[in-house]
Amino acid sequence: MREPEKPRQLPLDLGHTPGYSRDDLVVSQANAQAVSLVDRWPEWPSPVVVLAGPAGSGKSHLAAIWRDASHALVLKAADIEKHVAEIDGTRPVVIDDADDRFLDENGLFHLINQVRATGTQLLLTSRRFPAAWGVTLPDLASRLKAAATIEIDEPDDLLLAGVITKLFADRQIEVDQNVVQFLVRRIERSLSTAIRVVDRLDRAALEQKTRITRALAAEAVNALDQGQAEFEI
Amino acid sequence: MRVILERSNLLKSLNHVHRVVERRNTIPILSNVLLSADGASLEMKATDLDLEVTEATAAKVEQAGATTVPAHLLYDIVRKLPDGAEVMLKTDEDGNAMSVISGRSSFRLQCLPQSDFPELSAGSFSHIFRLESAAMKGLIEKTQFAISTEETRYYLNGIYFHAIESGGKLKLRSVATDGHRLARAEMDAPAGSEGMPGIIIPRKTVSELQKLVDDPDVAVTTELSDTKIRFTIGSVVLTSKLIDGTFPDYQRVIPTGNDKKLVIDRESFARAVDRVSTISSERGRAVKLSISEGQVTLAVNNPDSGSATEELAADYSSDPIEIGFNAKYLLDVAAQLSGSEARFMLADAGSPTLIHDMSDEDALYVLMPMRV
Repeated sequence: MREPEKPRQLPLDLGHTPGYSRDDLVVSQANAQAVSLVDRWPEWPSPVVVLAGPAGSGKSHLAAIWRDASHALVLKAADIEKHVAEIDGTRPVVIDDADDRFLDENGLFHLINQVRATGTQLLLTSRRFPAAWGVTLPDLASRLKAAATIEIDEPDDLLLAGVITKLFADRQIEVDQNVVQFLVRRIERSLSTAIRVVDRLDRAALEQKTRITRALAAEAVNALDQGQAEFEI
Repeated sequence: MRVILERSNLLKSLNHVHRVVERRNTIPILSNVLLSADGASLEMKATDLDLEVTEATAAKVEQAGATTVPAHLLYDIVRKLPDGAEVMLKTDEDGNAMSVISGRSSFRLQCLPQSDFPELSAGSFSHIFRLESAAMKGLIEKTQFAISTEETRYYLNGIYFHAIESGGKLKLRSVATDGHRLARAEMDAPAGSEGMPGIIIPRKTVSELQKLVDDPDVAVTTELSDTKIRFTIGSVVLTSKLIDGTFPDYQRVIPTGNDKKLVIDRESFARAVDRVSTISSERGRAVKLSISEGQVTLAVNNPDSGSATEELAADYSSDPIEIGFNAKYLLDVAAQLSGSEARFMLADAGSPTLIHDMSDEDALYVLMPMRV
């Protein structure tokens, strides 16, 4: 029989603001190419560049750094067409999460033409390669084929450790490097798992009003391994 | 240095400044209070490098000068001198010791040179405003209990002060949270506070300030910048570093759509919570509230010792709800409320509950429930 659960204090959902500055960016082999692309701007291999990488691999972060550096216009994937006229070559354009279900294909097609015509640049980020977006407009598909696609790999240890440290720093929590190393060794090698485990640890520590220790980290990793739902709130 | 002053004046000022001095210090000079005699006053200063208190008191200065002596020791000596006594403080020729002489008592304290005493450079301040001490006291006392004591989240170890537009008026707000509950107090913003940066005042500074604003007749002058704050209260000047962190966006945890309204007599509620929680264990003192039309039932169940329930009449007409809270948090909030009735706005057993003082709309409290 299951023991009755001990009463548990629920924490307030205080949230946090992710840091998107160049200083916050963790660079390793996995994302070196993408970082160098952003740093190299405006010397780009093609006016249209696609950054493709798994969730949490730092695409939005890179896009934000580039946006600040280039003063790019930010458009949403679902709503492009009516902004095409604003492209006059003075500002480049960035679209985060371009493989959105509601991608405005027509708009993107015109946007790419406009960007090429006015001699500016367009940065797209997505989880998948453009060929896998399921684009139905043949003209757009061929435009995307011509774009330079830069891949961000699954993270290596260095990147994963750096990202975990950054995720804690976003929450203004200093964590012992031993805990970070412990997590790097134990969690599934993906950045989305890193985000989940840091979220979970953050909440658990707030709930129990404790430091983030190795014991707490072990608990969180075990819970994730057992496939428990995120905090059931 | 040679100075004579009333024991009561000396004691009062030392009482203000000595509290800043930590009992244990790795840097010896930080255990000391700086005494400077000049003109017709003796100035005392103490610091822990994050917080500095200065106070001047009237004294007969026979020979100007300055030195530093152990703060707690000097305070204890002066405290034990008889009321109404006069005290003479006199440094040796070589400045290595200071005598404290009063009546037939005489003490010699070892000194450290005043030139070693650290200065907390305040820099320049961008904003200055004045408040009645009662107003400052209100902002502090209503929120102080919710300050977090867990050091990892340093940005919650203080009260967040900021000016904000609310209901078409500029308000000066104080907010504190420990991640389980949140307290917010506000008042009409005083002239000079417009556009001030949001700042986090550390817990120790808050608690010193709170003791200094007890006198209702004085005004508090506040000067602040991004990194420092200075309060001048009568003859006391408190200068403090601010917490270098970002306070969370607290507005997102203040519920706006809670529609179950419970109005209850504050005192009987607090007493009932206190009574039933007697039986709970030290850790996780959960009390379950079963709220139905016109009535609240409080229940505590401790598998090790037994259970307790108490029924209370209340004003409630929404759907029945069961929700658990930490008894201590309920008592903390009840202790802050001044009116005879408290208003709870609830949503469900897993969402934040909003608590208002029926007679004071300037303060609100948010409490996260416990899963029971």
